[in-house]
Amino acid sequence: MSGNAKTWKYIRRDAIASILVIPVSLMFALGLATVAHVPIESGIIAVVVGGIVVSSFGGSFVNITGPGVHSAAVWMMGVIILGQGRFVQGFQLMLAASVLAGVLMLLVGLARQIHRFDAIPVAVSRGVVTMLGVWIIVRQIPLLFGGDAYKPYASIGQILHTYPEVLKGTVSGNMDYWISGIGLVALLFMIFYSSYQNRLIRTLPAPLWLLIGGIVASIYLQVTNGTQGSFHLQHQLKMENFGLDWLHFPDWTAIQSGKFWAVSVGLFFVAMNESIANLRTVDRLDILHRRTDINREVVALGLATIVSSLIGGMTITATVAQSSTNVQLNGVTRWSNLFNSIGVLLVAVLATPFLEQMIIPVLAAMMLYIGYRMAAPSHIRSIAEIGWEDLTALAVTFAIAWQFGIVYGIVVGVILAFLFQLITSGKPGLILRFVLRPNTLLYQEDGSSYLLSVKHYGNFLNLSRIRQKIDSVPSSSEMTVDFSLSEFVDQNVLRKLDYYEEIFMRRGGRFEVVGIDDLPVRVHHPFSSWMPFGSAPSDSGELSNRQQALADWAEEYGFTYQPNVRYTGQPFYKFRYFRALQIESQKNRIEGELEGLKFVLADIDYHQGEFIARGTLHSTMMSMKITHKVPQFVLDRERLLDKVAALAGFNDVNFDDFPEFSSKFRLQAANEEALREFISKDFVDLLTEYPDYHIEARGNQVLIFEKERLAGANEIKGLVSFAAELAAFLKTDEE
Amino acid sequence: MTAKQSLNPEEYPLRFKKVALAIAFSPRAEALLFEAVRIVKRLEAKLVLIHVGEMTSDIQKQMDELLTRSGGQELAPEIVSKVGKPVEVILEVCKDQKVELLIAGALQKENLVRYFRGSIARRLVRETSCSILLITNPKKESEPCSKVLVNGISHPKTADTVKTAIYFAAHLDANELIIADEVPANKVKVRVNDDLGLIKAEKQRRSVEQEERNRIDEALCEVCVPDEIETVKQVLYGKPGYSIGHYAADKGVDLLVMNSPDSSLGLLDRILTHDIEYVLSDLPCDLLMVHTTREMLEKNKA
Repeated sequence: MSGNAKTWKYIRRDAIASILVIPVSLMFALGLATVAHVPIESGIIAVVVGGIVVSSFGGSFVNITGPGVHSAAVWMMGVIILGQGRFVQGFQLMLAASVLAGVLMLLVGLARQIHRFDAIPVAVSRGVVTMLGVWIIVRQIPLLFGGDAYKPYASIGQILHTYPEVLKGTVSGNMDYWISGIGLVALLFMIFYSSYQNRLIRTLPAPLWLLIGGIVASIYLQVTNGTQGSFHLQHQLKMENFGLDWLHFPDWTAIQSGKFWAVSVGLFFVAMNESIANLRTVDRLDILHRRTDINREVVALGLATIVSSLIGGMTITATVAQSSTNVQLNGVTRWSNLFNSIGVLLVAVLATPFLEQMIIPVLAAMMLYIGYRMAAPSHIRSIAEIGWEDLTALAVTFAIAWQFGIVYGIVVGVILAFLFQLITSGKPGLILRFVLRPNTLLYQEDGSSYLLSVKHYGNFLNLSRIRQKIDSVPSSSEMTVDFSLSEFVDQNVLRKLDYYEEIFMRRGGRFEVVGIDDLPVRVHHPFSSWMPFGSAPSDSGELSNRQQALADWAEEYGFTYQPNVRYTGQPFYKFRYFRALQIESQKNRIEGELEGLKFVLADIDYHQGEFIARGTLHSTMMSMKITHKVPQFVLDRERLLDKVAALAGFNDVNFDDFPEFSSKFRLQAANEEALREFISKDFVDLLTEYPDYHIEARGNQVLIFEKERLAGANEIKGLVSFAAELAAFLKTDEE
Repeated sequence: MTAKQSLNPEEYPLRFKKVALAIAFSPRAEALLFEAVRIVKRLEAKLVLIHVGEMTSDIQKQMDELLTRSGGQELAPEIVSKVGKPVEVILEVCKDQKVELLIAGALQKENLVRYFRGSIARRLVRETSCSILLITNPKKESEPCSKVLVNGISHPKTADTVKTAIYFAAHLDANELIIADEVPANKVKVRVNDDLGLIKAEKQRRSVEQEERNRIDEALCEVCVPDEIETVKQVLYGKPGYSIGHYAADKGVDLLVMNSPDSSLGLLDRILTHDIEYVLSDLPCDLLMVHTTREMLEKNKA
């Protein structure tokens, strides 16, 4: 294909993807603008400027830019604190603060110093994010019950003081039940969306449903209740007419106050942290396996933020919900970001009357859910599972950031985390002595695989060195990280290695970590040092009936069975099915041999999309290793794999010789001729006999599963007996 | 025929015919003497023992006893005693006696507190005008030295250092010689943050590697490497001076051979000056610093 034709193909793909990304982006722009107490146009300017500037200068491919969730929470507090009860002035001061944050981002990106941000431990950044989430929740609850979105406050305490009023209103009936009812329904919808597996509901992203729902409900109210309806609808979005009224300009009068600088630097930290984390998350979802030049992307984000805030827009960051929607819809290049920004502008200008119908409690519901996801107890639990010192660092960061400001929270958190590490590692001398010295060595063993050796210790302070070294190696190669010269490794490093393991596996490489098995880890958790709450998921626990059945059966046939959770995607990441999916863990792993071919069968927990677009799935799947290569193909009856959408370049193959087979199954292959040669009558007979299985062959591995859910013990037995026949066939075919 | 016999001594710039050791009376120093005696025997060299302080008959007696125990009597070592500060005395004697190799004990890891012995070793390394062998873990019993690592960094002194390493390795019956070439990470200039940069960096890295290999091959072809010694070439990317020590620890080598620091030579740029500190502060194994003299360098240039 010529370069031009390819570009056009990508442009078309991106245009199609952005059709659904635009409404998601729009909802976020509306919602985050209300969260931040700024005019709606401000959120839209951020999307538009971000899309144009970042898609021209950025270093990412599938990232969609827009106002950031975390930074919107900082905006909200900034407007309250700097405005001292006057939102308009607060907004203008925040514009100035945002310009400063943009300048700082630009400088960090130009100096290519992004890796310095790795020195913020996971617990500390989690503490800040949790606090921002709580801020959003506190602010959005009154709105959900019909509170005025534009009523000014001077502190978060004032918002909390209105809670009794809201409660009284609810009890005394002095409340708009219609409006808050719609809000509550929207909230329930957000909560259940991720657990729904209904295909109809999941065809559209959740924010789009809310957008449609909110506008439809509002029009319905007006039509049925007439003038009375307008009473319900007094809390609606207000937008200026498109034109100069959209623009606002920063107010620099507070430049000499310390508070202003604290807010700017806090905004800078939060926006950076958010952008870097989101870019990395989205990077691993990219179906073309590209790597973002984060430094360059941050330069573009900084530039975009400066431009945006100078004309009245919010801070621009990389987003995760929008971007992962983009990836799921097959967006592949920066065009989707540009299309998204143009689309949002067009919709906002042309459909202003419709958007103004949007009911605020619906937006509040969405933002409340987002706030909950930021501050979710599960995140805190996962930190607590790692160790008390991390939990304490999180709590202290939270408290200091809440009381004094984000910057102080981060600084105190990092110092505390360091002190804790000095104490709990038991090796303060070692840590202090080598804190500023190099400790990593990368070399190529035998000209092919890379070895990264880490000496002394690996913790959050020297994580960036480890990371830079790993980043300098193509992820399609083989890499071993050796900790045998280290005396301890902390969870921040282990987490990142986990991330790299996934990236390497996805891109056809191999990534192994050796030498941590004999380091003192006190509990059975992949990242942990000590666990204060509950017991560790141990191997000795009671087995469920299913597990017992599997264990007995495995023993009978001479397979090995491991019930415990393993945090790995091996060997399943290789398949196309998992290309846009993320494996969290697997358990009940059975390994053995069928007709001399090795197989792995496991219950896999995996998910689709990120953040609020996330849907968790669990399936029992089997991967079989065959001794020779078979043509790459995907066979499936129920077209479950259609949604994988990553089957580009695959053609449908129909067989005139086997009409029944062809009508029943959908067979797709990368190389049609090779497959035609490979498929014989016996093979067709075998598949017709067992029509329920989905098969994907790739290289010398075959993925087999029945349904996209966990299989029962008997189903597993059926799966294995089918696999045995398939194995027998594949072996005879070889001869 | 052993590795030693297959060498042509004429090819080697340094043959260590005179070896010195500062002697003291402690279990550690005693072990050090055992090591020194073994090495001197293997090198077929002359041993000079340096005593710092007055030579009394008491000390003479003690020393004789010690020499007998370590089997050093048959070498008929020359004993020099001088009063003064230890480092100065040792350096002075080395100069006067035209010592070619000085053996000293060193601590594997220096304490945060300044450690007497460690600091002597460090000063000796800085100021000596001969090659120096730092032994981290002296043992009375003989231990095989099978793996030798030599630094093949791009530097005028390197050729002689590599040759000396082969000479030394052959005399110690080593069977593996690794020539590790430290390439500063910034030599590969591409920013490796995205895919495109990565591909460029890979290419650049390959060409750098090829260049370095050629350079080392050139140095190697001047001498004949005994068949018993297997040579391995390895390119390391990272901070010069640091990576070699880390690599030595990683590979578990028995002896690390490096160029001496440039400062005492005074005519070369001071690239290595600080870098040697990394290795000294965290010694992975025994360390031989090859001191290349001015004449040797000039000969090479010609």
